[in-house]
Amino acid sequence: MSFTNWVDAGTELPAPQVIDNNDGTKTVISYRYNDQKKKIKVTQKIKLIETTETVNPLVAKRMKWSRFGLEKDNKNIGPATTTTKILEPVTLILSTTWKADEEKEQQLAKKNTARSVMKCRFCGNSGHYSAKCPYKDTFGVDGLPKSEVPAASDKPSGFGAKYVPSGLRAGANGLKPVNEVPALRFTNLNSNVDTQTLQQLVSKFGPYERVSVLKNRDTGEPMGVAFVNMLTKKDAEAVMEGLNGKGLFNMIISVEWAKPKK
Amino acid sequence: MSSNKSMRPILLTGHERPLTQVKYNREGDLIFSVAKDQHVCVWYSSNGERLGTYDGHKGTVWSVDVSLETEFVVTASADFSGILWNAENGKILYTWNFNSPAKRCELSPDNKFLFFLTDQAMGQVGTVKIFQLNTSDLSKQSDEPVLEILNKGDASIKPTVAAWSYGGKYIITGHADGSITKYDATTGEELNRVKAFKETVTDIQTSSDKTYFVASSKDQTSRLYDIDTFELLKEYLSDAPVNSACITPVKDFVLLGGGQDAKNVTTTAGGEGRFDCKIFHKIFEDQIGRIKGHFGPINCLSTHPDGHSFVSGGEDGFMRLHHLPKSYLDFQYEVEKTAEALQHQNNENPDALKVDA
Amino acid sequence: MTEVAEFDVNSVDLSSLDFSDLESKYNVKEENSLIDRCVLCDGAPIAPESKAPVLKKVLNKLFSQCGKIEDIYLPIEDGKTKGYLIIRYSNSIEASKAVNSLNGKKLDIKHRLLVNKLNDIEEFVLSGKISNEFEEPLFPKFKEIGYLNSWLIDNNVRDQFLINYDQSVGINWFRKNLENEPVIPFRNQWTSTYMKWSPKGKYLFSMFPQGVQSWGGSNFDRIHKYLHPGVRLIDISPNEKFLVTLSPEPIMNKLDLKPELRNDYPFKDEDIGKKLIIWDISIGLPVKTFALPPNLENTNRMPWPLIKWSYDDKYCARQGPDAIGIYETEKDFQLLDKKLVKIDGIVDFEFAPSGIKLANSKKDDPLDIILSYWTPESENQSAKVSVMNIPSKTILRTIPLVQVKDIKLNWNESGKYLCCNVTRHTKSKKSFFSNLQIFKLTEKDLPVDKIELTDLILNFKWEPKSNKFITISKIDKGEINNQSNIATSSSINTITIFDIEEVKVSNNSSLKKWVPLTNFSDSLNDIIWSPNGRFVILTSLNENLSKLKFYDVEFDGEKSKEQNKKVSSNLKLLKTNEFAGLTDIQWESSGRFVTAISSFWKTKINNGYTIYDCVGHILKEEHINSFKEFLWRPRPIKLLTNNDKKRVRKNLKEYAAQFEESDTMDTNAALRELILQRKKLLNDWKSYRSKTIEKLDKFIIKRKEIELEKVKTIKEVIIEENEEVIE
Repeated sequence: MSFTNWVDAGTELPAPQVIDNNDGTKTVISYRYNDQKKKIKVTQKIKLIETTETVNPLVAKRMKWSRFGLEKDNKNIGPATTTTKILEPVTLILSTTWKADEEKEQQLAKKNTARSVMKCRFCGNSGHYSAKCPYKDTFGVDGLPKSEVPAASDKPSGFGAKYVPSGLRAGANGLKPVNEVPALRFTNLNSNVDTQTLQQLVSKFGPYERVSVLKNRDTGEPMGVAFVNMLTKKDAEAVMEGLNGKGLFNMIISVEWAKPKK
Repeated sequence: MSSNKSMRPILLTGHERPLTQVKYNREGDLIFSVAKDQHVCVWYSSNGERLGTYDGHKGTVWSVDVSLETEFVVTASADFSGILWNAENGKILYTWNFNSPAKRCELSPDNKFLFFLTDQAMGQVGTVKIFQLNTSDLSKQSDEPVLEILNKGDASIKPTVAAWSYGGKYIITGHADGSITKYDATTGEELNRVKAFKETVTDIQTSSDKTYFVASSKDQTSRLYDIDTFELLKEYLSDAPVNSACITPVKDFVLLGGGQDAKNVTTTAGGEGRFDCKIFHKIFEDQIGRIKGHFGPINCLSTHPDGHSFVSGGEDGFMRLHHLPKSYLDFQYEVEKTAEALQHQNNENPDALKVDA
Repeated sequence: MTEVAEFDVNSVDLSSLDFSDLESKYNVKEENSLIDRCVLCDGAPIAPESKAPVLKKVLNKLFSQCGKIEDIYLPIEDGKTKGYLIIRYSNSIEASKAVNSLNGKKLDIKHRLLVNKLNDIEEFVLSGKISNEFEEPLFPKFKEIGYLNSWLIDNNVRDQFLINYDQSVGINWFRKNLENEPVIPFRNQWTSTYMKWSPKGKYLFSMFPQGVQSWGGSNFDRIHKYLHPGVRLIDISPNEKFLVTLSPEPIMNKLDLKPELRNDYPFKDEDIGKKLIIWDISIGLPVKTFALPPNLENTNRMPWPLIKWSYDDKYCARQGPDAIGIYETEKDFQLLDKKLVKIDGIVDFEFAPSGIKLANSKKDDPLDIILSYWTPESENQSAKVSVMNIPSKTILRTIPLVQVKDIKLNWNESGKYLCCNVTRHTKSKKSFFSNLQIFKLTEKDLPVDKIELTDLILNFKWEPKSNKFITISKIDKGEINNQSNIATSSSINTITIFDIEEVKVSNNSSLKKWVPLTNFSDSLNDIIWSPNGRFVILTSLNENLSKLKFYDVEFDGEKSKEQNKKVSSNLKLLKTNEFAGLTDIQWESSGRFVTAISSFWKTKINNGYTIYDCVGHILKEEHINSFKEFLWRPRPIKLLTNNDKKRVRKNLKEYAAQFEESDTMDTNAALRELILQRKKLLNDWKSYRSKTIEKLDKFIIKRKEIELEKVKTIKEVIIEENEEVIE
């Protein structure tokens, strides 16, 4: 079963970073794309708070259960950033005219973002560039100057609001990628080439594991790029040899080894 | 943190493959999730913290259920087995072995029985196998089912999902051809059979009192049936295949989750937005809202027994836990408000002002 | 109403008609015939023949008071007079006079004279028209009118309004989004001039040349006729018990009426010549008549009402020269203590509109009835405003005032405050300015607050159900005509809203004083408060194009800077509307709706009406030729207790939901269908569920009540979130 087709063909987002502020709070820096396909850096300061709740005694008992299975060695308090993430707020409007209401809300949001201006990376205020931030030098008390951010957190986790292929996610130790054989990357494909056509084409060289033509998420138009996994490395080499530089629907296609993702 | 209209969903990323089923326990404090990645996860529903995993299956886990007091968990897997787990520590108590993948399992309402639905594959007939549960020593279970309900036909009409009715009286099954059937759970006699859908039935979930149920289908619809009469009560029309549907407590809503299959998604313009969880009004059958967020079709849905939160599991391998905002709980049709007002007034003061319409 | 069938006069053959009935009816008898001049006197003493000449002499003396007696015939039989006699006058007028003045006259203790015209005896007795047997008089059958307050139990709680136009009067139900729905079909010729609702809406009065008629019940059937030819002005007491009518025509002598009208003639001889009548509305009979005070005879500007009522209809009072007459309605309208209240120079008086709990009254004392009046300055006396307790006539407080031109007595609806709007002149007497003197009736010793202004107040209005008031004033530079207080429309006035500020004087007492909330300049002249307060329309009536400014004085929003922070009110202009030819504004009694009216009686522009909601949105507009009147039907005082009101307020959302639904259903037939369908779906579902629950009760697992525990949980909370676009 293939489930890559709805994957965004955009570039990978940086892995989120978690910084423990040692004062009962932690700062999580993550990235996502907004509606305009702009990359957004989200800095969340998260506090673990203790609340008192009135619950069923059964529930109270279960709250004291110790972790087990994959969580057995997790000694941290509260949800782990690797498995749990609080997302950006979602608006829920219930109404018989929900469609129209949603559109209105979106337009409103667009208006607001159109008006929003670049914010200073240091103090978060708008009105000046980061380089001219008056707090640039005095920073470091509650802000996070760039230099102090660890280059990468020691536990990169592969989640975000953005889809990450499941095989590449953190903790994906149980399951291997589809095949050990490196994927082939087809570029400069004619936009008429769809998955089916390419499947027919490569099957001449041997059985294939996976053929996927990348498509624009909004329009469904093929983007001229495709990935192909052949069952054996030998067949894959044959495909590259047989098709690289050949014409297909008036386009000279290029086939190369896909670079493994970081 | 959350205003009247907005909520912050919690993204649960413990699974690496598409989710297959999610389920709250009776008190709603825990969420159990199974996926194609062999893990069974349990989460605290209030904050999304993963409590643990039940490890032992060697293939896709299709189905999970939990006992009333959350002492044990039962799972059905594509590895031809069903496992009874100690809920608290993840230890295996017992393993049933079958000759084909186990697609669905569910404990009877009194927890004295359970069934496994085994797939019509590998030359086996699709069967609902009912076992009596030895609750005094959970690790000593019988391999012999007390009742087997066999599929009377080829794989095109095999059962795909099943559920217990109130009192453990009946078993309802959904089939690959879109029909639904009611069997007597003690005799195995087929009592009703209705061709409810055009395509395969993807999920059956009962109301909290298990007297009526909602079934969903690939044919982009979902329907509400009464268990006793097998009468069609309501129908909900979606614009994409429905993989799961559930009846919400407190509010008279029905949640529908699904989406275009992967192979079709790019052929429909603007594939985005098809992966939303749709909220329908249970009585008036209108869609009244949706919640977006998944990157692939929603495979399974479950609501908290108090109706204030629900969780969805997606083909994208993510679970999204939603603590619903006030706007969700406040929403009412005008006629509902009026009816409530009238009732309130009648209770408080029978002579109160009435608007007659 | 009877319908008149049309018929063609020319088609009738006159010779075939029998006119004998008309001939006999209109047959004119010869005046001063012998029999016409004679009266028969019965009930005279029976005396021995010897005493007959003396008796004759006595009777002759008595009867000659009425005219010249030509002859007295005193028959004697068996040596005794027969107890009757016949007197012949020189003309019939004298004979009539004798009947009128001497019939029923007591000659002595035993003998009462019965005097009748001889031809009446002839006509009624001898002709056999009246039987000698006693016949019990037939009482008119009791007429069922129905429940007079029936309109209050309308299912949709709608209001009624009356429109009077051209020759027709219509009464409609008002529904926000709907066409007018007639309560009864339009009636032609229902009134010769105007119509009037009683203050609580129970009765409707219509005017006819012969008098007033009252109407009521669900079909507006006639209840009573109040015969008063030429009636011009009417007024109704606050509790709808009494009707006051005034006509320039004096009440006629019964004898001057045509005989067929005499039977039901309700007036007695002492009423003859009077012009002002108080009627008991429910029985339809006059209870008191008054002559006009001499100063009001032949005046063009009749002050009205001439009779003022205490809040409970127990007393009524009218003003005469240097006195007030106070009448007890429950004692046959006798003067209180059988005498007038002498007040030298009294100019005006007003009853308090509510009963008042005075500071020194005991817990169970009934509410006090208060009357206020003022007297002008005289040579060695200052002007005075006094408040008097009724019926004790004790003066509770009097304040002296100097340089007074005029005083207007403005009672607050609650009766707690009396604001005297005093127009004073400067020493030079060239210009005027105003003082406000506010009596606080419920406080000890009735303190009086004084607000001194440099402006001249042109208009003053208390807010109903509140203690705020609005004044419209301007600086008088001597240009305001001595005669009138009405501002010219072009002038710029100052509009001021006063509210009470509580100033703490000690730990447990505070002083209330009125301070301006805000003021602003505008050319508007008229203040029209909603009957429930809070909303007010400021406007100028009788202009070609009037502005209607809708204000909220308790606006639930941010208070603008220029307003006084020490008082709680918050003024906000909600909407400004324009209306051409505005002659009147009528609030609906709950204050939800208000109507602007252009009446044909005052203007020819834009005749018709527009209904707004209380915040100024137009709900309905209608232009009607010869449009005269628009009258909302008043409602009685709310019977809801404070607890009821609280409950309604608490569940306001629920009520609102019901009303909104019915409003929506009114607007749109398709929506109506949808709502009805949903209602059905909802009911079906509920009955399905209750059936299931009943049926499956034993199967449904019931959980025991579990005692809950308190535990600590740890949650992630985002305390800060920052987003920046980096690419």
